[in-house]
Amino acid sequence: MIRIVYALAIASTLLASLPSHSTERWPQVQNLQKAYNFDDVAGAGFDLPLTDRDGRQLYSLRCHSGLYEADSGFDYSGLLDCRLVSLYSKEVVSTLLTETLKQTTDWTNRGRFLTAHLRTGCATYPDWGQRRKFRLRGMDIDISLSDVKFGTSPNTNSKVQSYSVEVTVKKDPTSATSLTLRPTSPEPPWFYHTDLPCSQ
Amino acid sequence: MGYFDALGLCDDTKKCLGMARVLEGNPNTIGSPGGWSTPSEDVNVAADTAAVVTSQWGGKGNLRPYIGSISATSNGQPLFNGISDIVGGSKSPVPGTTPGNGLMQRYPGDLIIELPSGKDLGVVPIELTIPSSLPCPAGTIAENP
Repeated sequence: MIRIVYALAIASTLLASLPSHSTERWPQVQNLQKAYNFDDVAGAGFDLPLTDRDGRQLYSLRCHSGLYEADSGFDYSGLLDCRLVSLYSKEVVSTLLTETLKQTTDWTNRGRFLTAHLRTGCATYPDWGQRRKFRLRGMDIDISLSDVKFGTSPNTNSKVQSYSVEVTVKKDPTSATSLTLRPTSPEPPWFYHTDLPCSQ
Repeated sequence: MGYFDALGLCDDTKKCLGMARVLEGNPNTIGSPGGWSTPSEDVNVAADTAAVVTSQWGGKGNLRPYIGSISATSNGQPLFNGISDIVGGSKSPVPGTTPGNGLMQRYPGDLIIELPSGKDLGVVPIELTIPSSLPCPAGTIAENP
C-alpha cells in the first residue's frame, strides 16, 4: 500500500507543473524535534532525515553554512542555508523550500538565513526572520534560530559568533502543495537587500 | 628590498582563451547577497559581473579567493568584471541534473557564463584575465602556455 502511495507521489511530482493548490496526498512524515548548538558558525551544519512511521527516509533536510562544499547538487550560502530534498521523487528544483518552479538560484528562497536577518527588527519578522515555517507535502517544518550571539552588538557590521537551531516537523494534512506555500507575511524589503534597514 | 618590474616579467595575471556559452541572468538578483556569501561576509550580486559553474573552475573553494580578480572580454568587448554568483536554481536544460551540469552537457567544451545584467549571447569566443595562480577554467586554455 505504501509503495502505491509512493508511486502516486512520484508520478505526481514528475508532472512537475503541479498546481500551487493541489490536493494530492503525500507520504506521511513522523513528527520530530531536533536542536543543535553551533559555536563555530563557519562549520555549522547538519543533515536531518525526515522519515515515515516505519523509519523509511522520505526527505533530507540539509542545513549548512555558506562555506560547505560537500553537496554537489546545491551551493550553500550565507550564515545557514537549508535545503529540503525529496528521497522518493525526482525534482526540477534544487530545494523544496522554494515556492516556485521558476527558481533562478539556489539561494532565492526562505531556506537561507543571513546575518542581517537576525538583527534587531528583522529577527522577529514572522517567517522571514529567525523563525520560519515551511508548509508543504502534508507537513509543517519549523526552522528556528535562537541564542544568537553577535561579536559586539546586533548592529550593521558585527558578525554572529554562535547560535542554536531548532527544527520541528509536524504532520499537517492541510499543507498539500508540492513546493512550500507562500507565507502569509509579505516578503520584507530587507530579505534580499540587506543594506536596507529592518524597519522597512 | 623592493624592486620595480619595469618589463612586467612578474605579471601576476594570465589570459585564458576559449569558447563560452553566455546566458542571460536574472537582473532581480543584483544587489542581493549571492551564492558566494558566507557567515562572515555578504557578497552582493553586481551588474557587469558573472555567475559561473564552480566545478569548471576547480571547485568553489579554489575559486573563492579570486572571484573579484577575474574579468573577460569577447570579440574585444568587455563581458564581465568579477564573479559574484553561482549558476543554480531550477532551469537545467537536462532533466534530473543541476543547471550547471545540464548546461555543461548541452554545451560540452564550453565555459558556462551567466550575466545578471547581460543578454544571451549564445556561444562566443572568450578571453579571460585571471590570476596566474588559478588554472584556466574548463573550455579555455592559457594563451602562450
